[in-house]
Amino acid sequence: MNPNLQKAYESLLAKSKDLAVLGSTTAIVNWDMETKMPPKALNLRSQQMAMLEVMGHKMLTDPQVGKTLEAIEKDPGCLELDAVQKRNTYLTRKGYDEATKLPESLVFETAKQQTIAVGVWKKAKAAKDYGMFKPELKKMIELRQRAADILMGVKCTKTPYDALLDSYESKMTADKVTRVFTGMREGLIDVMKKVEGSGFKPDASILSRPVPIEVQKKISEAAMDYIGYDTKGPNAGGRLDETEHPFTTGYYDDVRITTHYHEDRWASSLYSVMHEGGHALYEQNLPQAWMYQPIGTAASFGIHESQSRFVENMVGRSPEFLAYMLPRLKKIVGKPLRGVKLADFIAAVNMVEPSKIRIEADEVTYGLHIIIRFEMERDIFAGKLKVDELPQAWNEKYDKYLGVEIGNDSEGVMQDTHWASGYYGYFPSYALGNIYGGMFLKKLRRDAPGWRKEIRKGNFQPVKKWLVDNIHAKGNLLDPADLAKEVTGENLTVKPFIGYLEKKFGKIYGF
Amino acid sequence: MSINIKKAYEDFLARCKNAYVLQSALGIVYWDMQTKMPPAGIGLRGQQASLLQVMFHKMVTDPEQGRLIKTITNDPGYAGLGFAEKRNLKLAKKVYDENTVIPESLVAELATQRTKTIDVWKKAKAAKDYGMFKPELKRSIELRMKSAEILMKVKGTETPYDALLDGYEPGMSAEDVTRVFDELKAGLVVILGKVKKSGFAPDASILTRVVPVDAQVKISEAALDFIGVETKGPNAWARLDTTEHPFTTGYYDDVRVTTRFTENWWPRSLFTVLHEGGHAVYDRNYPRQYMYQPIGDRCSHGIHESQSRFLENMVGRSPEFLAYILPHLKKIAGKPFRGLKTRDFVAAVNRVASTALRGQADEITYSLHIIIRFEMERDIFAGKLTVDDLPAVWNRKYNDYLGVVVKDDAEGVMQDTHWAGNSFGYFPSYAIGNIYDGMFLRKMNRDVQGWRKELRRGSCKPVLDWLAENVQSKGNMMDPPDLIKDVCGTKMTVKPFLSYLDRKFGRIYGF
Repeated sequence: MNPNLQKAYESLLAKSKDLAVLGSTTAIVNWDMETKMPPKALNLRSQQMAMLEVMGHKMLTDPQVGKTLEAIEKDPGCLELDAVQKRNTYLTRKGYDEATKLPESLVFETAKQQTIAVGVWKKAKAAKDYGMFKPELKKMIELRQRAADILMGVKCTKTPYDALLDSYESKMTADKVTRVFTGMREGLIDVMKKVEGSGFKPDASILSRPVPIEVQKKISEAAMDYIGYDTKGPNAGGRLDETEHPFTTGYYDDVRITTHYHEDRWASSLYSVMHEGGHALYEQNLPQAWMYQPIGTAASFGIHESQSRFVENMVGRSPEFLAYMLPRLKKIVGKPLRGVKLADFIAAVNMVEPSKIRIEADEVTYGLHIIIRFEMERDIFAGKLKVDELPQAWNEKYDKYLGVEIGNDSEGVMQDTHWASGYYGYFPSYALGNIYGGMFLKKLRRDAPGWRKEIRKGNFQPVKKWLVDNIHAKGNLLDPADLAKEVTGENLTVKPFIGYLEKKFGKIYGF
Repeated sequence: MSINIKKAYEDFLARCKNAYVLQSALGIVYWDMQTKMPPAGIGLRGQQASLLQVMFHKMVTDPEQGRLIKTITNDPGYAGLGFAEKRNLKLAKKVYDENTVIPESLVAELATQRTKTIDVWKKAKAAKDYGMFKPELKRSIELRMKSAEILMKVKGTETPYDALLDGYEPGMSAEDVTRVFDELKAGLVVILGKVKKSGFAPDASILTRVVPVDAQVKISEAALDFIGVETKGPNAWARLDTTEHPFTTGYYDDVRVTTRFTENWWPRSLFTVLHEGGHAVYDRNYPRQYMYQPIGDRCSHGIHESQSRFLENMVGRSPEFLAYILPHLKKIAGKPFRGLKTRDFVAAVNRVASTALRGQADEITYSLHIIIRFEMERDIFAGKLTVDDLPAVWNRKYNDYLGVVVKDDAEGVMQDTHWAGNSFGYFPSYAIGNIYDGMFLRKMNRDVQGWRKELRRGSCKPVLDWLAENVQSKGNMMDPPDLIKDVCGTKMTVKPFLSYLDRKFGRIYGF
């Protein structure tokens, strides 16, 4: 590298570091808001969050960043940069171009509205009163619509919604999602019908036997131990706390997960710990050498979800994991699990049943919950669906796709926090994560044929190593579709995921 | 207010607000570091804290803020501004002038050296090796001297040490402190003599009986509740957590208290919680209409200490409070308190005994620990005392003032974190807080005659109301000497504090 280029690139990295450090600070303040903050502090906290957002925005849109980028891009030596250097430059350029187009006032307004809308959403949900939530939701959508209109121009997407999608899943479009989700819907409905046709009905009562929270905490510890997520040792880089809605946040050496304990649904905390633990392992195992660089981040939200869902479902709900865990759970839990047979346990954990609540859905119907949300988001931002019409559209779709009747808006359109937070375009990531997970599983079977046996023995290492080597170690070096292709050799396809479900549930339900 | 000056003043206040919002966010980040952060996160946290510090420094030294202050104060309309507006401008100008005059390189050097000195101090203290600590302390002092010499000119103080003092107690000089401390020392020695002469030696064994941490947590929660610090329920504005070195941090609606639980020394957590809770109540009760403005802040560190020490000592160690709480302690902790009589309990809690450690000192000897530190600080920055001489001087003073033989430097000159943390000028605040408390108490005795009776009945409300109305709600509208005069009608005097001690301990020790 010539000295000028070297200098410009170093200055780019220095800026990236400040951005990463500030972003990770904002994450801590946000974590505190969700887990520890006294309720009275909400207003002050919304000011703090908005300020940190604006500072990040200012930092990223500093004209000096534009000059540095230009200096790199116009330098004749630019072509000889290696893949990492090129990608760092590209990602910074993308972030810079997008951010410079968004007015600071819009960033500030959105951050503030986010805190307000989430606060109102909580109250409205408790009161089952969509009317209370509606004005804040409307304002949030308007703010995001303004951002989407602007971003569409920078990102050169066909529609505003595609611009939102791109923020979570780079280069993904609503057309592509529609196509792959159509295939997924057919496949899922097919599996669902086979399950119904089998006539087998697992007894899931084991899962609703009361297990005290103190005991559930020990189960969480066993789960974290299993996947190697350390919260206790002298070099621990993790924490487990409780929140209404479980989440993961953090950066490299400080990555935190949360869960929620329900006395009469003890498996809920086990699986949220496995899920969030999967997210956490991804963040912790990004290449240390790339810390503070743009490539030292996750490839996309969809890939992130693939990691969490892999650990939660492909591992956590596998017969092998359950076979290993059952005796240990019996020891921890005692009476409620006494006499439970492995086959019954596996069937109970994997019971397929259409339900109203996304986060309680099984592996088969889960994707249908996502399709509903995706279709609605897409239509909202295409101007085809109004805030007034959301509850009705929601309820109709739940009836049509899942055959369930929604009793009130708290268990309907207000069940998730995403829309209150302004995260439009996020939902598809969950189902894309499942689809990527299916593709990864197919490859893992070839690369590490003995992995299921090891899971049965209590050894998570082969799976973890495969995930780290193939996914985590690549950070944000590739766009998600390219990463999936590089790892599996295939373009985005729903087949492996559907094949996985067919085989797994065929065994359990006998079809 | 003319339109121009109005606009400028609003702009000025918006900038003040940003600084307060950022500072409060930084408070959360530090709190997290001390209470919740996983150990592996320390490196990243160092980066986060220093980035926010630099951003804060940039904010308060923004030339635009300097320009605004100048524009407003030079405007013909300035004379027509209200008291609060003028005070805000004055306080912000002080911050601006003091921060702009210190070169950024020195700020960075001080911050780096601080981290290093604290780290070495911990190790040196553990190894009881002053020689290890000395070079870092020396470097710290040199850097602090440099900044003090610069600040001295802006602040217009007579000596560099006065400039440091002014950072904690505006308007206070070493000469002032020496005068009141000499008087204080003489008075304390007299009372100490009476205590010794009385021949009474309370049985303090109750203080070291094992009380399990669970029970201590309940005691702490009850204590916080007693002084109105709300940590539970939908209107909570505070938290209680545990740390190695207890502290309080917060701002209006989000205030956090920490403590430490020691099984075989239960009073520590109770009195720590009352002390920190006193700080918390102050942070909570700043004048709300001035939130985010310089006057909506503490008056000084000495006043802050007066609030914590009032609740810890004047309330918490009073016979009335102890009489009220004893039955509750018996209920919560049971056995260790069985059969204990109020009279013996009061005597045990208020036992007077010279110790080597400031943290274990009683109400009478405490200030002597502070006087020793003050005299040494003053002499260090006057060039009369070198780092080599510190241990010998420390030990001699402990022998002269307290009659204590210090057995090693870990329980001697290295016992506190303040010098390692480069907070020279802070120590006097503690004893000044005591002196203010004596004055406040005398005034409160006149204003609210029944407060002791109420305390005995389990209500701290009259005391809390008096403190809120007379001290806390005045925020930073006046410098401490003016506040004292405003509240008590006299200049600073040690007499009320000494007569409080004489009377209280006279009753307990029978003189």
